Amino acid sequence: MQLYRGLATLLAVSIAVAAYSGVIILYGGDPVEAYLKMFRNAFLDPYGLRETMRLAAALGIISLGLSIVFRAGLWNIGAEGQYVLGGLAAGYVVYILSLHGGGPVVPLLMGALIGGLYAALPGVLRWRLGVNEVLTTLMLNYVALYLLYYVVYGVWRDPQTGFPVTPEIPSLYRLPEIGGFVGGLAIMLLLAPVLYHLLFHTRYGFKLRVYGLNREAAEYAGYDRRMIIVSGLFISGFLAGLAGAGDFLGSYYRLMPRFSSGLGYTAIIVALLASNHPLLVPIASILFAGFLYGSYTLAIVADIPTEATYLMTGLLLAMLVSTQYLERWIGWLARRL
Amino acid sequence: MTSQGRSSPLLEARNIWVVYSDGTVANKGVSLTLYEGEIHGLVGENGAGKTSFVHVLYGVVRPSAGEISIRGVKTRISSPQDARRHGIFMVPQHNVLIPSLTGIENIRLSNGKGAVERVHRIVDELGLEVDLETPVERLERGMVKKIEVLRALSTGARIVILDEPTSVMSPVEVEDLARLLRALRGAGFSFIFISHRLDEVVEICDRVTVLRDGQVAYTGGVDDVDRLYRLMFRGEEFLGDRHGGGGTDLLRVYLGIEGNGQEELANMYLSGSRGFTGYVPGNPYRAVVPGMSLVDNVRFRVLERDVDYEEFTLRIVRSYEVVAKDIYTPIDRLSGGNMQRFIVGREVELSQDRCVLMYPTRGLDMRSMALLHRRVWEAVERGCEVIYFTEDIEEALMLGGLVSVVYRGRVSEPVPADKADVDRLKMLMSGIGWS
Ligand SMILES: Nc1ncnc2c1ncn2[C@@H]1O[C@H](COP(=O)(O)OP(=O)(O)O)[C@@H](O)[C@H]1O
Repeated sequence: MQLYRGLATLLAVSIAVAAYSGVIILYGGDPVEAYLKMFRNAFLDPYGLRETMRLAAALGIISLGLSIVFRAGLWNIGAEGQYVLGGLAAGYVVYILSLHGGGPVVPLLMGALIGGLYAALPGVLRWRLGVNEVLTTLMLNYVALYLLYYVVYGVWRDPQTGFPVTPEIPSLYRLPEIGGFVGGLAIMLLLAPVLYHLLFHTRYGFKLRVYGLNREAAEYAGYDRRMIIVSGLFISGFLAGLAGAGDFLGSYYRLMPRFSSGLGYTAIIVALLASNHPLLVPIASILFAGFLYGSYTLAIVADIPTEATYLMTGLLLAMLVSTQYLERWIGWLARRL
Repeated sequence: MTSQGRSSPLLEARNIWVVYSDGTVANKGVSLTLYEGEIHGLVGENGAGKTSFVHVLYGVVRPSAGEISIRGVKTRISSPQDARRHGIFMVPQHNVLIPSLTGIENIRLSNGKGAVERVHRIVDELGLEVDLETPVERLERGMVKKIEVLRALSTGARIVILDEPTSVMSPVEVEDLARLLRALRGAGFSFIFISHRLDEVVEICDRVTVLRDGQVAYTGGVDDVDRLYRLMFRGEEFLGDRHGGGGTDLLRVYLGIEGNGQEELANMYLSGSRGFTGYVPGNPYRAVVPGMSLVDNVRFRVLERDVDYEEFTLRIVRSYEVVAKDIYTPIDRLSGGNMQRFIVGREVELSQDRCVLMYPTRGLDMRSMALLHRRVWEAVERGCEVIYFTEDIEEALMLGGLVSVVYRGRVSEPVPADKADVDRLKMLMSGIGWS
């Protein structure tokens, strides 16, 4: 079964890569050359590598949280909103409260906390009223997005520039670089084993997995459903909020409309690519960040439209969500051969 | 009646081998001849290869070797559609009809107008008592099964494979189904009848094929349950002797067809207990976590308790004869019977002062049943109260304890099993004799 799962993931990736290659050919390019160029741009070029790792840090931190809720069989589609709200909460600490003590720590934790609460809200709706978390988490993304627009176009707008951006934050709030890369990367690499431990070596993680594999069995064993739903969503929102605050304090230093760039959705793909396994998330997020950054550079230098990137990620998501069917199909094929 | 001498073989399977991709050899040269107008029993303990064999006949599984002839013509059956073209139809164990539609509507929907006419003709000619005009959801299960048989025949099938048709029926319903099959047999239809209830097999079938370890251990007429039992288990003596100690109030047996209020009774017992209460629910899949190992399937149940999970799992595997590669195998790899024994074992052995078992032997062969009964008595002897639900009258009598019948939310006066009147229990189960 493990084997079939691996093959199914591979098949999903292959189909997406084939589609992307098709687009490259359509635009008169050579796919092999294009992939080599992407790899060079994303991993061998020093500036490119920094950008790749910046993306990987945010993607990875969000995916770590998603790998926890997905294991519980809950679909948090709202990481994007939780990420944005994390940034906004950190912004509130910096711009409004102006709390100096601790530098980036207080706004970072505030962002995570608010992100967590924002995700726990659909959890509460789920256990109290039975509202499907897919819908509520998705809808709350828009609430967060318009809140972001409200502050960057209005109340927090930098009066010095004419652009819809907030002022750059003072350096004392900035998250320092570690090892030449954004601080978030180190946070992601540190969190991966912690979440692995939580999921596979604690009672809490065990209950979460039981709930995800068979809800009825979890109820049969007397597990507290409410606790699992709310805490699972809280953890994933906490990490998405942390990523948002981290990007605000560690790489953008300000808020702007494109602060919401769809990372929360892309992270779903990364979590699925990593089979919701926290130790595989760093690898998957670095590879995927490399692909994303590489394909953006390709758009600039080789005229391959960025729509091709969206096509590939969309296709990949669809294929990964259907891996259980692919898995069954591969198993069926294996029995026939 | 059976007319083997007169009629010709309708279906002949010769030397069928089934080898699965993981190397399991489920059939090792099984041969079976089915005559026209015959009810042919197929028995064997769990894992003997019955399902694999009938799946070959129905085109679900491709045999690795062997051949099948229908009316003397060598035939390949490569899919269920193919099987139906050759006049073979399989009625699965669980209801497949659409509940809100009537029998006729179901038949028309699945097989068309011609099928409806065919069924009407059969029903009229043989004078069968079948209710085809009431929505299926309002019918007793015995009646539903009869409709499923007719639906099979409506496709023009001459051979019907029945997979454990009686597993959830009351005795009266079983007799009713037997009457239907006998009438159809008279009209030349043939049946392969899979069952674990040996008394029924002896009662209903003309001939029986016994499978043991993927091979035919016997084919022929059988008129004695004990003989059949010995054939199934290599001449072992019948282990399921009636247990003594009928009348102990630590063992409460509730006899009745599922859905007569057992769920509510079980909940009552589950809520009023102090120590850990073992519980096997009616749907055992509620009690396992697929994708997790046997050890974790013990762990999830007693997460807060101080138990040596590995040692406990090993003990269950041994004393309940669970066949598994090791205790770290994912539980979904176990066959149905093994999973069932594992769950029952886990619950019985974890129980402190009470254990509620709902239909714990459903789908198990008689030897496993006897094994579970022994373990239940061991639990009783260590002072654990056992609440045991069953649909099978034979089982209730064999098990012992205090027996009550459950029917439409009512519970009859408990009687010690060794003093119980079988006919009266049968009547109560069928709704007769309640004041
Ligand atoms: N799809 C399968 N793949 C591998 N082994 C199987 C499969 N189906 C059944 N088996 C194995 O074949 C043997 C016979 O099983 P089965 O035909 O289901 O017996 P029965 O119906 O008599 O219980 C068992 O050991 C079972 O585990």
